[in-house]
Amino acid sequence: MRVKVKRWHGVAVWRWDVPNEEVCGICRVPFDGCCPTCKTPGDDCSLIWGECTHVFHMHCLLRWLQTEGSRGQCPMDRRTWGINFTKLFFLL
Amino acid sequence: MELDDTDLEEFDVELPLEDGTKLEDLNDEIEAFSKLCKQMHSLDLIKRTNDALEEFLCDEIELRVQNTCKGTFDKPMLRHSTKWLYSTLYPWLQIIFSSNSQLSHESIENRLVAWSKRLNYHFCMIFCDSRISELFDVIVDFPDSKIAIDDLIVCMRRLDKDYRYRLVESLHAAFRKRLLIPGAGTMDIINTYISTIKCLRLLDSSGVLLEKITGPFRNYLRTREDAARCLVSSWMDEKNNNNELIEELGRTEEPIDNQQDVRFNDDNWLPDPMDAGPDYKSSIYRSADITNLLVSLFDTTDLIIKEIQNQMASYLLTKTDYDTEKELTKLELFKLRFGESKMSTTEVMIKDISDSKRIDSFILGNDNPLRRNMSGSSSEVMMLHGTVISRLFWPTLKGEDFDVPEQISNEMVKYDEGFQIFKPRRKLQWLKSLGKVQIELELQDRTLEFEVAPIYATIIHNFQQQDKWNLVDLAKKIKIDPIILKGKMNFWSDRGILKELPNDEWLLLETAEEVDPSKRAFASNEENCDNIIQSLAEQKAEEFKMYWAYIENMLKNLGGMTLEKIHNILCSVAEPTTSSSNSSFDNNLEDLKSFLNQMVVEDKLEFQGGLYKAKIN
Ligand SMILES: [Zn+2]
Ligand SMILES: [Zn+2]
Ligand SMILES: [Zn+2]
Repeated sequence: MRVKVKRWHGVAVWRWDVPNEEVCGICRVPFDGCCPTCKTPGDDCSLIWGECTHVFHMHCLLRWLQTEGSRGQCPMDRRTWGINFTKLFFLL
Repeated sequence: MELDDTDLEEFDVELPLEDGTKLEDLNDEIEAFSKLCKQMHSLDLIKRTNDALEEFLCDEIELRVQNTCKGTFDKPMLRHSTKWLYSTLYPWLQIIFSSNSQLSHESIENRLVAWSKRLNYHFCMIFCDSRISELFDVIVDFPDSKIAIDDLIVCMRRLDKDYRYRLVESLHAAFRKRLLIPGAGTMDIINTYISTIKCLRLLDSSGVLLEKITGPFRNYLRTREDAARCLVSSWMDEKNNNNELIEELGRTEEPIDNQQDVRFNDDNWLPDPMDAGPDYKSSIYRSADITNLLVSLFDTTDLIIKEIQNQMASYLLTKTDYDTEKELTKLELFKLRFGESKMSTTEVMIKDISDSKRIDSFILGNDNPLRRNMSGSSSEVMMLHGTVISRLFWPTLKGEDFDVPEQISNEMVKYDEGFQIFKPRRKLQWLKSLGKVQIELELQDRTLEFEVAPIYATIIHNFQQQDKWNLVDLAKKIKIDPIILKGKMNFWSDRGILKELPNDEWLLLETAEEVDPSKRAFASNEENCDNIIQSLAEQKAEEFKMYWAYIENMLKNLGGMTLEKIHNILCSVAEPTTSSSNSSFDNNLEDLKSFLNQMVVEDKLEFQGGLYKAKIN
């Protein structure tokens, strides 16, 4: 017998390339979900990586940085927030 | 076709008789009868026979209703009967009264009118009783029985309010006896409820009758686990093009949750009728929007929304052409109905499919740098296409992991690499058991094409290298539980491709063997796509399993507890789950009860004197 596969339609889930089961440190929602103000995950609610290696929903971090108390620091370790440009580069 | 009182009271002897003969044709008989009456008058017998005459005429009316009206719902029986009263019954009355020579013309007329009024009323009552007693059948036949409803409307208008209660009670009894019973299918119950809505809104525009009838349906459908599934599947049904429920779904002004009391801006507003019950919500029952009424049979819309997500997921995951036009149309209808925010998860699912189309054409197209590099070798045509989904927005998908054929697993790696270029910082995880495969089997004497689930394609693919497999060996090869595999092997033996030998051996049939025709019929009917979405009941059970260890420990340490106590404790300790959609322990008492009872059945708990107790080992 010869089996000819004419078309194989598979199903896959996508995940952000972050450690499994991690949640955004600001909103506590899994990275693969979206921030509290968004309805659609992925492209419409992407992540942002800091120099300090912390990751957040981009919207969550931007909202945090706009608050008085943030002082431009990472909410997890209070170091001055800087974008990890190697990761951002991929996003653009 | 409307009949009103004047129709019924009009007196016209010129009407032809039922069988077409005119009254004049009966001249001899009339003359004889008239003579008899005159003689009786002279003997003063007529007065004494009045009661007997009335009784006789009433009996005739009852017989008439019994014999010709009962069970006939598609003809204007009220009109036929009126005709009969005036052309057949009343002319004889006229003869009787005219035979009294002492009466003036006018008083004969008056008597005739008085008698016919009484008899008409009697007819109305009898006819109404008859229709009410068979209203269940009228509803089941609707809309073919619309005329019967029209007749009933005319009669009810002439009778007192009491008949409304009689109607409700009789209908209740019929529903209890014939519909709201274990033997009735849930879809039949829902369809009958729809017909009931339509019939009752014709009979009673105030909606009071409908409100009174809805209670038993609501209570009964609560016991039907598949109620929401049936309702949603009738909305989702693709094959049924003139689906009335879908049409009804589109007829709405406001989402259900935003619907306020419409009284203040409704010009047609009427006060609630006197017999309205305490929880009569006039707007919903009066406007009688079928979809809202159906949805109101459920305590919350949550169950329906979850069911929509589940069924939508099933539809979307069987797609291989990425065409979501139909689903988008449905989504718009659901949004109008349930509100945009409640449908956002479903919206993401549909968007996943259209995004998948872009992803797939990028990965397989020339814009993918990885493809360009390997375009030299023509053997590298990708067989694999993909649907890429956002995992937290889909229902729990069932399915086991296993090793797909090497060619495909290589393509899966390449597909993932292409995806990572298109969507940086993201990666794929394949759900191997989901999807659809088109394969062609070239056997010695036949070539066959199939569209199958990936597991079946994987099984048969392995018979390419070797035509006989031991079940355990094959299970090891494709890394799947032998028990699960065993259940899947029949797919190919049912189709005459494999043959089961003793000792769990399976052989490829290079040349076809005669198949038992009964088996073949079975095979052709069998769906080859397994149910891939966890049902709501399964989802609930999963949720409870998270708490099972906790419940068991609690009962061991603190002794037996009532259902309510367990529920209270769970509500206070349960952590919000991580999934984006269900944010907390929202399981109600009934669900917990059925879970605990299941644990009792499985011999993991004891139930004594109203208390659940841990098993003492
Ligand atoms: Zn966040
Ligand atoms: Zn966002
Ligand atoms: Zn940090």
